[in-house]
Amino acid sequence: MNHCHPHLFTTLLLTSLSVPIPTLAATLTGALTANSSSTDYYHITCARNNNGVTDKLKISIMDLAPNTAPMMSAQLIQGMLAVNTTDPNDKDKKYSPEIALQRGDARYEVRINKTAVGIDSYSLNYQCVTKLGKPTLVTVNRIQNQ
Amino acid sequence: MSMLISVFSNNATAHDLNGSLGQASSAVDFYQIHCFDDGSGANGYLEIELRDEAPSAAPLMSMQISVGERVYNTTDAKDADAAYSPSLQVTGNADEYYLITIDKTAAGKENYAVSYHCMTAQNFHTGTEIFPIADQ
Repeated sequence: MNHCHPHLFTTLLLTSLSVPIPTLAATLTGALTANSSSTDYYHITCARNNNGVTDKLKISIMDLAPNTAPMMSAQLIQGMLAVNTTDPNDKDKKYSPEIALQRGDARYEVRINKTAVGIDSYSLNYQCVTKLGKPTLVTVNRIQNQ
Repeated sequence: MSMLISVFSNNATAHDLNGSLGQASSAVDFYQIHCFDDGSGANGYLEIELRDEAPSAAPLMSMQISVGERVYNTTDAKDADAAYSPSLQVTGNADEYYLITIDKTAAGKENYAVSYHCMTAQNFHTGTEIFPIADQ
């Protein structure tokens, strides 16, 4: 009979159940379907760690291939605050201007959409940081995938 | 930067609002729309569309509508013409609150108009009120 190491078993179980695991700064990739109304929707939760409490969540987005007409944007929302960022150039490999909200350890909403019809893909960069810029824990949960 | 709502926080009859976004590319205007039974029937869906108004400038304007854990986007592809963005019909409960965000793709001041109507499942107009949350 094979035995699985407890830590490995826990990791495999969490992965198989798609339970979000807190990490430090990270990047995720996704895609939007052809419909112009398509929106991907994430909850990103910042939590304190040994570096201290979270000061803010920072995000930026990069419009990936295919190089098509739609521009891709991301909105960052927490409570009654909202900010937007757009990648103006589909053909370079640069992220959009970075945006942030200073709402501490909290659950933030991130929505990703595009300006026209057409399949498109993206990379989202996100990081929770302390006032000194040190990373705190971040957990991502995908709510809607269009 | 500023917003003019035809009938503020009331059972609006015109169901149009005009607003503007400031210079920053990150600017977002944020509203809540309440759909309710005003005697015409329970809410079935919110019908909403956006128009990018003069000045005719580079940024494209978009609007997102969320209810519960669903979010949809619409973008006005052409600035300063008479046409609105594709209309969205977002279903909701009999008494429902929708969140609306409006943003643009680049730096530069922009103006917009939003047309919004709460409708019954039988396509009759019903109670509609709007509340501004953030004005950037």
